[in-house]
Amino acid sequence: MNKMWLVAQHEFLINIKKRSFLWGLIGAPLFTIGLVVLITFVSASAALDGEVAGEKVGYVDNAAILVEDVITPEGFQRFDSNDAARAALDAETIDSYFVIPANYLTSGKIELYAYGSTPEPLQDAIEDFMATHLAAQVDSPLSEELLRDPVNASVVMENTGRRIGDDPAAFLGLFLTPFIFMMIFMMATQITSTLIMGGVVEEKGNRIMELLITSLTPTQLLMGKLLGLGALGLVQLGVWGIVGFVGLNLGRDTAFLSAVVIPPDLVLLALVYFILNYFLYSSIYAGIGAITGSDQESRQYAGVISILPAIPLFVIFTFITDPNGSVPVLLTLIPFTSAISMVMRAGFTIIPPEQIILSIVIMLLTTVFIMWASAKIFRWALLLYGKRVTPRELWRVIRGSVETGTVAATAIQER
Amino acid sequence: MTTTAITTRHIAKAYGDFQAVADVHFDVYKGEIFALLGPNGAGKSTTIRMILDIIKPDKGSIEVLGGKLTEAAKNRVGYLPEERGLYKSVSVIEMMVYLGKLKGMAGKDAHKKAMGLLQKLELADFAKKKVSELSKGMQQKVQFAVTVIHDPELIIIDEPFSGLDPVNRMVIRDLLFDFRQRGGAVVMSTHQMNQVEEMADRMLMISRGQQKLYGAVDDIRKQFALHAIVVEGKGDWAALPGVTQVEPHSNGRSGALLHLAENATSDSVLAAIAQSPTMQIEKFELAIPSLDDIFIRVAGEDKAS
Repeated sequence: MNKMWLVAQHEFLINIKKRSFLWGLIGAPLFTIGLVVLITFVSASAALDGEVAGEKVGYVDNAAILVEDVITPEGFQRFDSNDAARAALDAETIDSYFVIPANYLTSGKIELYAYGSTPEPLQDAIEDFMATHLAAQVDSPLSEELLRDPVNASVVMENTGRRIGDDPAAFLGLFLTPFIFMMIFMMATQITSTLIMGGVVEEKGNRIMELLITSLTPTQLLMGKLLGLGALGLVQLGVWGIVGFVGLNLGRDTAFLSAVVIPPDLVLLALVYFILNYFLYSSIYAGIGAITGSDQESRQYAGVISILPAIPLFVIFTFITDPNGSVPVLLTLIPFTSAISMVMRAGFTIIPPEQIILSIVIMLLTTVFIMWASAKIFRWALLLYGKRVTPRELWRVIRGSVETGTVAATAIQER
Repeated sequence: MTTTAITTRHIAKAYGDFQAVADVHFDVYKGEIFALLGPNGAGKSTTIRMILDIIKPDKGSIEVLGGKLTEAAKNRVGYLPEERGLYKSVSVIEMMVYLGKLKGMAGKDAHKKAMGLLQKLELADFAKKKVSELSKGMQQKVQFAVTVIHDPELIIIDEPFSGLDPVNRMVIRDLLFDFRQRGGAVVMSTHQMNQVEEMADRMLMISRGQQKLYGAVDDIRKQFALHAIVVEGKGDWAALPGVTQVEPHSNGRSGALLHLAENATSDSVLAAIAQSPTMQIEKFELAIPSLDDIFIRVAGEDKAS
């Protein structure tokens, strides 16, 4: 088994230097950080919406409800009549104006005039302006702040124990957690699996395979590859994890990211599923690489397989609304969709422990079976060139007994 | 200590209805170069793959280095497949060390040995280059170096000289001679008969999976000797007593091929030439066919049948 470790070590060291891997390793966190910076920037600029930069707005108070001792925000300008405001708008000294009609106190309506659209923050600024004036006239021990915005709720999710603020962005952040995990899963598995497949295709394509199998058994070769690239996948996760941790802490001030709470139990669960998921898919990809032997063909098959883990995404709505419903539970138990289903559900709800155990057991058994079958196919197909393999043939190979060091006779005959 | 590197006993292999190898039976000894000959599709590659345990024979038994080809035994065998293969995007030295380690070497030893071999093959400057940056001939030499990096006791080579220029051919040939000198066994499968004549001690020729010729190269050539002589010089050869027929020497070589009557011998013809005042000879030899001739004859017969 020593040679298996040699292969693992070699695969790890060779692939960690590959440009495509480094791009994935560095590119993905860079993209994420870029996203965080963008979000932070957007939230920060939204926080400044009290003063809408550069916008000049006029107002006409026909209801006479505005009081003098409230500071007028920058860019706000009082006009005495509708006509005067209109003239200013036409002369482009202001960008828009609003009229507080005489019946404002009963209707609560104002009218905003502008050429073209008015920015959303401007409307917020006008609301703020009105609220400040109104609050200034109420004789109450309550603070102006409270009168303006009486509800500042924190939502405590009793089933997960997670707490989020009232900001709508925070809700988004809550959903972000499972998404982050899911993206990491799919990318990490995809990258390493593709490396495995590419490696097998290369070795088969340049015929070094024949040399390799006179040095070690195909099973050693396969297992070595799985372990070496698995370790690479973990390195990838580690790097992303660190970047994610730093990124989250940097973006802690934004409401959006403050809700992204990653509990340790979720991390542990994700790690277990990541490893199982990796071995499951990588074995399949290695088998595909062995059967096809060309980059193009193997990518076609891989494309089909890569859809499988994404199936939970198609029913994401069900996962959000009813994470313990029958569809999410079913997808958790199907090994090919287990990992992502489980991580998504874990972000939204408490999963009954027996479901976790059952899902892990099913996945473990399937993974072991797939690895075993893949080793057989691998061994059989290594010297198979230019031949299309039918599913029936594969099934025969999986069921049949293949001796050590034996490549199927039919495989050779084709040459 | 056994002197046999490979023992095969009546091995056979069929792919479906197609009998690739039928009843092949030979030994390869340590300290010899053994040629495996045969036309395309004769079963040479299948035979090699059976020896290397890549495929199992349907019948018969194979012993390599005194027993079954276990993992430990695999470490004592070097193999240069017909379809050459190297990792293209890895440096030469990295790849050699990896393949050496897969044959059970320690990393340090593999590195030292690899550098030594590259030096010998005048490739030391290319150690850190990627394989894809090497010329085809250089890749061939690297491939050969990979085959012997772990100091095997037996090497099996499919077409060792394909793609090599005459200078590099000599380099590889000398390495093979050197390997034989130190007691190693070489099995070389080839189409290049002149190399077999020059290098091989013994040979096996198969055609359509059947064993055709087996034994020492010299013996086999003598076995095919015609009752004829080859002469170069001046004279009316047909007038000589005991000569039944004169034809130009085959394969473009100069001189004439004299077929002899049953009661005539080469000595009697030589004596007759010596006594003739009008005849002059520059060359006089028994007509021992080249392996090329033998190959064509045996393979041709097989085709005709």
